[in-house]
Amino acid sequence: MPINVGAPPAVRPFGPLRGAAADAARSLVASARLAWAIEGNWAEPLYLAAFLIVRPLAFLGLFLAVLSIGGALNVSTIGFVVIGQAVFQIVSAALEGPTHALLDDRERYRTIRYIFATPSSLLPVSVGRSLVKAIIAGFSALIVIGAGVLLGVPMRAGGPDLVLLLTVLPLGLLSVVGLGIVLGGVCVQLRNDAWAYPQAVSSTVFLLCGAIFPPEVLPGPVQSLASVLPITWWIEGLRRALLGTTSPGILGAMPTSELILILAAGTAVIWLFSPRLFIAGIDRAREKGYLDRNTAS
Amino acid sequence: MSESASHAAVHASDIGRVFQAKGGPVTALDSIDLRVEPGELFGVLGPNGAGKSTLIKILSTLLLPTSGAASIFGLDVVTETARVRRIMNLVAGGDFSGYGLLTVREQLAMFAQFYGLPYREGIAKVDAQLASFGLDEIRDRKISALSTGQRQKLNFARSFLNDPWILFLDEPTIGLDVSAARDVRDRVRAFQAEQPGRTVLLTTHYMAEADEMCDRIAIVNHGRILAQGTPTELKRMVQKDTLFIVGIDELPATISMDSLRALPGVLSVAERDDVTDDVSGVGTQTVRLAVGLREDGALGGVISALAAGGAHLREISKSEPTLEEVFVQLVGRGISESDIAIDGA
Amino acid sequence: MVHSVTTRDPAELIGRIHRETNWGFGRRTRHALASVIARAYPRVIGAAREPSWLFFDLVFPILGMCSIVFLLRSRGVDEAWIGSTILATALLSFWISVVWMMGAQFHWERDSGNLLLYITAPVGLGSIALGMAIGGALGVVIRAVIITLAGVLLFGAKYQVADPLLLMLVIVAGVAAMYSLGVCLSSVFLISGREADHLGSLLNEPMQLLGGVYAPVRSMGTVGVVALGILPLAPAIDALRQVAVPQLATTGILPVGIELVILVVMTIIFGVIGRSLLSYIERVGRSGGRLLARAD
Repeated sequence: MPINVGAPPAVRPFGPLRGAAADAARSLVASARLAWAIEGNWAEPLYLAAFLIVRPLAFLGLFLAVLSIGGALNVSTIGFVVIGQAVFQIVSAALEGPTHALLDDRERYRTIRYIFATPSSLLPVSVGRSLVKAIIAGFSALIVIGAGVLLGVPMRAGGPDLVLLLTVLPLGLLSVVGLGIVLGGVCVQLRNDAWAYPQAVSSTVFLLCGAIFPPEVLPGPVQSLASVLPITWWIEGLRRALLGTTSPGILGAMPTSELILILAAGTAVIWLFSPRLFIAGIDRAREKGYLDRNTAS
Repeated sequence: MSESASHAAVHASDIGRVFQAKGGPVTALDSIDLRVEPGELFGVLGPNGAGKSTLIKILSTLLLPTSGAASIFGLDVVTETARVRRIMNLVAGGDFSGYGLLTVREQLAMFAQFYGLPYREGIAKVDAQLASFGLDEIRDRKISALSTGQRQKLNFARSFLNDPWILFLDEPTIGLDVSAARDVRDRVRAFQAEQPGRTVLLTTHYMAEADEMCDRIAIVNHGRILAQGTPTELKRMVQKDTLFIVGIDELPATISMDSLRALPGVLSVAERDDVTDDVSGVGTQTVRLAVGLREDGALGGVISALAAGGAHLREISKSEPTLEEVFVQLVGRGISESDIAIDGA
Repeated sequence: MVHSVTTRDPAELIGRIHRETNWGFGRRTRHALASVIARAYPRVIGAAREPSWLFFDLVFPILGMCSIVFLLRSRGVDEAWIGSTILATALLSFWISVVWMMGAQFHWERDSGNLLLYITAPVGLGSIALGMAIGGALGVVIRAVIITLAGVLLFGAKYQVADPLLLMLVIVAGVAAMYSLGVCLSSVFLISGREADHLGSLLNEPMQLLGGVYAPVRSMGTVGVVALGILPLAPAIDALRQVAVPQLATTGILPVGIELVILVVMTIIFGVIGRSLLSYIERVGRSGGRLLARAD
């Protein structure tokens, strides 16, 4: 009787997943764990204070101080800014995250070539890093919302609208992560100031998406840009879920069902193209030898 | 300060340096006494963590000693730092300092001002150093676009700008290819030859470099100087007797090893195992004898005895120990790749 | 092998070397000034060499300015505030430069190896810091002018400057006080070690709030008054608003003359503290052995 001396049965942490799907899931989890260790920087208290608490609150204070120039603030105005500012913490982290993760891996840790040499795709790795950055930024968002509550912002009676929250939150998160990985695929091909481009995009989106002021104050042609951005409707959806009120102007005029539809359609369109664009960007970077490049040189 | 100390280019007396680390105090230097004469090229050899860089940092005013005293041309490195800095310069290997946006010429011109040269004189010096180091063709290239070798040549050009009386070289040729390292060594020699009294203190991991360049060498380990002297003096420490290799076609049957050992002045004779095979096809090979002598003159007796027995002499060479052998004997181990890759304290 | 061991009489050689190292007051002064100019040079030339730096140095402040302007317009405030916002953004670009190009500079210089060369050269760190400040300020002037022009073109702001000399004085005094504080920050950042970058972030947005950059410090009560006394941005912006936008003169917390005096006093005090801190870091660096060494 032959004796089986082969390897023990492989552990299958992803159960029914097989082949490429299992590889992608494994990469996603591994990169998320790595990101948690790296991006959290839990050993540096000043980092936590600066990025997770002080900066978001300073921004909030700055915006409210500016708004107060126009007279005493009512709680609905404060609520509008608080939710916008809170959600935008997540937006900017997700938009900038994949680029910074790729550039960090390329230039700081110099591991991108090794990741590339493994069977894993850079796509799940980047998505994992981006998701974790967004989740960490979620702490900042909670702190900003907490500050809003202290300032007297009335939250929705009976707690958040969970159905709406659990519908729009993942959709919006997916949409910003999708946009973030497109930016990563583009920026990995750039040399000078590759780090700065996502921040420039993020700052522009902040201007357009109705985070702290309604899009009506923007010049006409720019207003239409605001209305096609899924992020605009993500923030508005979260305002409705958390505050239980609709914003004034064109944001408030959108029925909630249509808002969800626009957000879902936008997210679907983004994910239809973003993986392809990301992979095309990485492939081009590999062809041109950019995966070994240093932006500082 | 004694007159003897004040006339030395470098004088260190009982220098000690203790660093406060998490696990407790760490002694990097322990009672170092050192004297370097004006015009000498003095080498400091030691493994990783031996204290070479700590010594150079103290002498170049970057670090204070925790005990003892040191002076450069009679100027105290602790209390007369400003004056010491006016006559010294420093080159560290693997150093990529500078502003990437500046051109090679601009970078040197900036440092000429920092070294206190009047503007016109500074620019003239910069141009002279560019020509001397073969950097003329890349004078308008940005620092960020330079290769490692070019950057290190630029570092040397910078260090010569103020015509320092003492030049500290901390692993200066690390990472350079053979040709670039040779260029740099040639320039250091020329720099010293230009002006009597210019002194160089060099730390290096490369034994051949130290052997070739240094007038005297100190071997340090665990913060202490184990030995110092000229390369020849150091080698004599491990081999007090003279060793010759004598190559003959074959050992005559009439001559035994013992008979050779019995000759006057002969201490030892041994057949080496590196017999050279016959490659000429005429039926000859070379047998090598390692002959230890009390003095060189005793070799004549050995040659005569072999010739009298009918042996044909093929070669005679004097064998000397290498600096590496000296180092191994004193330190207990050689210098490894890791010593070269990571500079010590 | 013995090379060129001197044949010169050692006593004669030492005498010559000692004479060479004995620099008089005149030579020391000329050397210090020449070093200031030499260190300022890379700062001034830098922007021209890397246009992409200039681009981002303009894009971020302009986007930030747009956010504040639209925020103000959403509240329908007097257009005078738009003019104030544009000037504040221009002045803020000096502060950003102070934080990153003064504060964090020695930290970066240490990591690049330049600090070691400065310490071993006969130049004082004070001259290096002053050169960084003057070069930095000159480099930012172009940026500040472009931001102002962009703001005026985008939002149609109008200014009525009755006393251009006073305006110039306010800007110069404000910039001097900020860079003087920058000299102090350069030492503080170096001491703070690897958390320097985070310290820089803490000095950015929070200081915009406390310095009353976009909204008068008056609205912050006691905190605002304290800021006026310790943060150069606060009196500089407050005075600038009063001088360049007369409609907002009533928002000023103190008369312009007093704010000018505050800025001059700040320049002197921060300068003295900065000089002491530079001596301190050199002393601590030499005795401890780590502060000045590359963190590798």
